Amino acid sequence: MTARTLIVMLAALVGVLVFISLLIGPAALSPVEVFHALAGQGSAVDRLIVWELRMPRAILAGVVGATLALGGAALQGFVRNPLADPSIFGAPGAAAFGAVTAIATGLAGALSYTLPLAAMLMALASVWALLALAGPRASMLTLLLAGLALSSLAGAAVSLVLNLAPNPYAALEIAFWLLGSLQDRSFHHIAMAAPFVAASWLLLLWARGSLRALTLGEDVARTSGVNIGGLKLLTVLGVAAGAGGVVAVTGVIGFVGLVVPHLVRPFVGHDPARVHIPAMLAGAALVLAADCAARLIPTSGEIRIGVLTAIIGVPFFIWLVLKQRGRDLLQEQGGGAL
Amino acid sequence: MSLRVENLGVALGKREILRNVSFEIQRGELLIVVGPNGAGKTTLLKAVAGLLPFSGRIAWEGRALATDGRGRQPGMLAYLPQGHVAHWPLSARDIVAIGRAPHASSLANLSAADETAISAAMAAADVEPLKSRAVTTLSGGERARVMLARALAVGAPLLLADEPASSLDPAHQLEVMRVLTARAQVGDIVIATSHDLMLAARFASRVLVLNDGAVAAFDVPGAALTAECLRQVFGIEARLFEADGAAFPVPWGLSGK
Repeated sequence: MTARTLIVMLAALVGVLVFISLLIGPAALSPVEVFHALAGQGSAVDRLIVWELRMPRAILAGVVGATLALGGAALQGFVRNPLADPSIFGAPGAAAFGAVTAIATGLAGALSYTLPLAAMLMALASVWALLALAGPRASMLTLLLAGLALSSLAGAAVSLVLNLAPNPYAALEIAFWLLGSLQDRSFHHIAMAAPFVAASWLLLLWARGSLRALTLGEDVARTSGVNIGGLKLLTVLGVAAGAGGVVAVTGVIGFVGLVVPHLVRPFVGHDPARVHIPAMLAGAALVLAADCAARLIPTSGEIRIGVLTAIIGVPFFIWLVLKQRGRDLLQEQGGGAL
Repeated sequence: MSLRVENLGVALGKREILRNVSFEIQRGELLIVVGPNGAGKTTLLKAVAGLLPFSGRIAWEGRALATDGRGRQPGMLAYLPQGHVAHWPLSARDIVAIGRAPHASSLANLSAADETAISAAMAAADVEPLKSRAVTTLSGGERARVMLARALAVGAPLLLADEPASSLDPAHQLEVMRVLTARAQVGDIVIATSHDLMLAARFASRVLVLNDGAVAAFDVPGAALTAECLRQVFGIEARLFEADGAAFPVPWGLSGK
């Protein structure tokens, strides 16, 4: 299968999943009614349900999946390690800290934009801290260590906020928010995340051509005209903007960035420059499907999508580690990644 | 057209890796750099490739190159690092296509000229039968030749190859040296490092002997690789064997220095 065929098929799949997502909800609408409402016909209530309640959720699911998968593809290409994930740079953790602080202080309830704004500000602050901590000419390893330190700090800060939560309801709200959800999201949320997500897509897609030369190491890439420092800045900023913007409106949805690039590689090959666009579509499809599943699985409350992606993601992660172990054996003679 | 290096010095922190290195080679030459481990062979190539900041002067075609270690003009040179590392299992052809990165706006849309260069490079390095194999599944010798083809595909007038023939069997060593010699014969400049004194003596137009960061000898092989020089630089007693009117040094024993 060529990359083009795969892209067309994945785009069709995303379209189908968006439509399925529009069918799901407390109000029982038939596919025909949804279709009419989409076309601007049918009753005003149906149109409201489809366009104002269900459409934002479907769009957000697609955008979130695409952004997380893109971040993973870009990062794995840049660090030349298939186990890399946007969360290793600390931006999602920092965004979560900003969000839970807004919830704990009660600001999130008073002003609806406070939570996403706080999350994005913290995500940006974490990127700034990362670059300041690692220094201008940092190696990838230093950058990863700095990211790990910031992630741990963000995790500790989130725990502290939970610890100091003013009342059990706030603590519960924080805990649920951390699980990640696409419930009750509106076009305001999409508009809030849009600038960050758009910046992320632009930066990471623009930088992707340079990733192929990096396959042969930094020295070959640099003598091939790749500006490693610039590429590093683009990648870190792009990944952080995407992860920050997404976490701000949906909470923490893990493992998409890690897993999705692996799902498309068997079809498009391991060229790190060709993974991005199929990965975005596959990520959108995956999160849309997970969100549909989260609503359809009969439980007392709705299963949080972040929980679902983690339950699917962790066994996959373990499988990747086992596969990587085999590759390490193969590569022992030729020098491994990172 | 020439490459002229004057008083080149490289320091990493407080440690001087290279000092006062000067030499000049013309187009059509194959320079082989020899020296003990840690003598600065790789550092010399990296400085010329613009991968390291250095002091002194490196002039290409009479024009001084930037000393800040921030790279060179794309397409001016091809750099073949030692180790032949590939981080993703790309096909051999895709690896060779990376060589066109300085020329092609996108490796997804290669021009006819790019395709010609890739095919020619694969033919020269004799890797056409491997083109659809994943580079991670190749043997050491096959991988070395694919990486060499990648460097050839750049089509640069200056080729810097770090130990291109190390860990290869004799036939593949000769094959790689044949490719490098052919490259020099069409008017390029090739600089390669090696630990194999025989290969250096046999194929180099000139040999640069580095010892502890300084030039111990720079001359045609017969004049550079003398028994005296090898004793002082490598601490070995070498015997010289005559063939085709030239002398080839063979390390014979350790000198008690």
